Amino acid sequence: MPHSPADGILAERKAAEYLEQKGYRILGKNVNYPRIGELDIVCEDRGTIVFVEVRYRKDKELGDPLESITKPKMRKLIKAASMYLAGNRLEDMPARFDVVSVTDLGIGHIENAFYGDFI
Amino acid sequence: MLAVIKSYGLEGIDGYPIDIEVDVQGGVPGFDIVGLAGTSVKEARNRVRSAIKNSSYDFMPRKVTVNLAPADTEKEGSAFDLPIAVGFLAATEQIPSEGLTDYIIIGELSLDGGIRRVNGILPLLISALQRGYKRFIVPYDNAKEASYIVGAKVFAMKTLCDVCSFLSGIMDAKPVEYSKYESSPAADKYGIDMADIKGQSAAKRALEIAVAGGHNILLCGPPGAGKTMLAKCVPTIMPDMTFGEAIETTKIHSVAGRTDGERGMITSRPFRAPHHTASLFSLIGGGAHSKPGEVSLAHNGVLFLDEMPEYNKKTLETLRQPLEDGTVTVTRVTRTVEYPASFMLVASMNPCPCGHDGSRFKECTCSPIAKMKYKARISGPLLDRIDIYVDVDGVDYSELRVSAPAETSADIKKRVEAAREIQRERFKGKGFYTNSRMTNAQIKKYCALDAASEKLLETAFTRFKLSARGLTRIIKTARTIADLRGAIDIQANDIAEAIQYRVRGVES
Repeated sequence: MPHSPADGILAERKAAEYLEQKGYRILGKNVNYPRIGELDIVCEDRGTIVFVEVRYRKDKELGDPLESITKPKMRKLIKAASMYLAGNRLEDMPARFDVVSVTDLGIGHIENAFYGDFI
Repeated sequence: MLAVIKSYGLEGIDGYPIDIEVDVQGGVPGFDIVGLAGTSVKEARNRVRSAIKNSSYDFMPRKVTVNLAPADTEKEGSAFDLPIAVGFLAATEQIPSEGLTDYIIIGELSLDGGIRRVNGILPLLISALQRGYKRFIVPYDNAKEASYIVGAKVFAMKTLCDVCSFLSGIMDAKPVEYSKYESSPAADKYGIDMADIKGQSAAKRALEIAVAGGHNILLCGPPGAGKTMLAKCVPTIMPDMTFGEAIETTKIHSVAGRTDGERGMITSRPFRAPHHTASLFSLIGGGAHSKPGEVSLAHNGVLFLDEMPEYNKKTLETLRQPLEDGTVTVTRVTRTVEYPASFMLVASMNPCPCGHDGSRFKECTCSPIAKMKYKARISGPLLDRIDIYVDVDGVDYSELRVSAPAETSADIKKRVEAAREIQRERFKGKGFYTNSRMTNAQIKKYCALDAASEKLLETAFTRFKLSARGLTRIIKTARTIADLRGAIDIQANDIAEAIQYRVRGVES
């Protein structure tokens, strides 16, 4: 069954709840830079800015959610993240990219999913 | 935070110090290496990342910039992995940064945090020592190679963890112990002896002279006469390598990544026999990283060209300059490197396409034009650089089956060594060891001729239309013949023998 937009929104909400439970402070959701990219969740974990990409899959039959992040997607996220840091005067803060995968089976969290030089 | 680590790079067989600056900042995480780093250096970031994680240190997501200074020389190779990793750990305060610059750090990392061997440790240490660096951290697998260098404190390490505990003072390590140099006779290595060759006394004599004076030699004869076997015996009658020679040769082999892991050093004279399809660059050196070629790998040893006319003509001609100068300069857009290439050329060829011209045993079936064309494949200028030309004809049955033992390589080697000793004494401090490398001024000084010799030389000069180089080469060969006799003065006999080795080549 194809995903509806509602599924994605629900997944992002679930992911944010999960992160808050973990003690992360949510700084922003769906931060959008037109033609550059969108950051699903921006939060802070003990002094580190964390950019979270949320992936939703009904089940793992179509592959792991992490596999669906392609290099062009990473590039977009990296650019958007740079914009975010610069726009909020946070250039000197340590940052990282995480992926939270939401499936019907549960929530998975990958810290440091990729680095800025992976492009 | 910033950390600076000292490392060392190689350009040819000489090195230069490199400062590895590792800067760790906040921002979008990434790992950048700048300072004209080649692909193999850039790949370090993946190895470093995994090695640090697998050594149970923290590879925290940060914006990492690594600069290899001086930033205007191209760097290649994987030897900077270890210093980059140590730099990262120091910059992130996982290890203390005091005293790090007391060491030159070199090594390739494997993903599990182990340290792998790198090429060129010996020339690198020698160069760094000359510049006053004393303490080194190198891969454990390079320890043997490093152990010959007196004056250096070399710490050979197996893992990134060991290096870090050593640098933090948690673990104590002893420097590598010095090894004493021992040459290994070529006879053992190549498993062949002059005594195995029956007959061919003229050729053996010619080889003895050639080796004694470091002269180039061309063996010419029908197929199956024993040319290749004779050539293979050449290293067995050469004197053992001195420590100085061994260092020179090992430096080149080390850069090319061909050192003997067990000994760590090239201890017997190299015998290089490139196939006749060898390309120009494989012979002379070159490629993207200006690697040494066969002529340099044969430094202080033998370069054997079997069936010389079969080699590509252009390839052969490139030998002219190293034959004359004993060095070869490899120039590429990115760098110019000079490698020593002081080798003895031993070449073999058939006298004609069928191979039997001038043989006692078989009729030659080649047309005069075919013969001429065959000989023309080796140019005059190249032949001019070969001092000794000798015919190697087949051997009679009775000679072949004779059971009386021939002279062994060891016997011949003794005479060669005596002659070389005279030369070493003569050319002390001049940077070369053999008669063949004398300059014109030195010929004047060391090769006084009596009236009879002078007369003989003059006759030969006009009669055989010798070149000026030809003349000096004859005198050099005569000097060697006299040295083999242990004589101080060159006699007419010596000149006569030298002339006949020379003119056969130029004449025919």
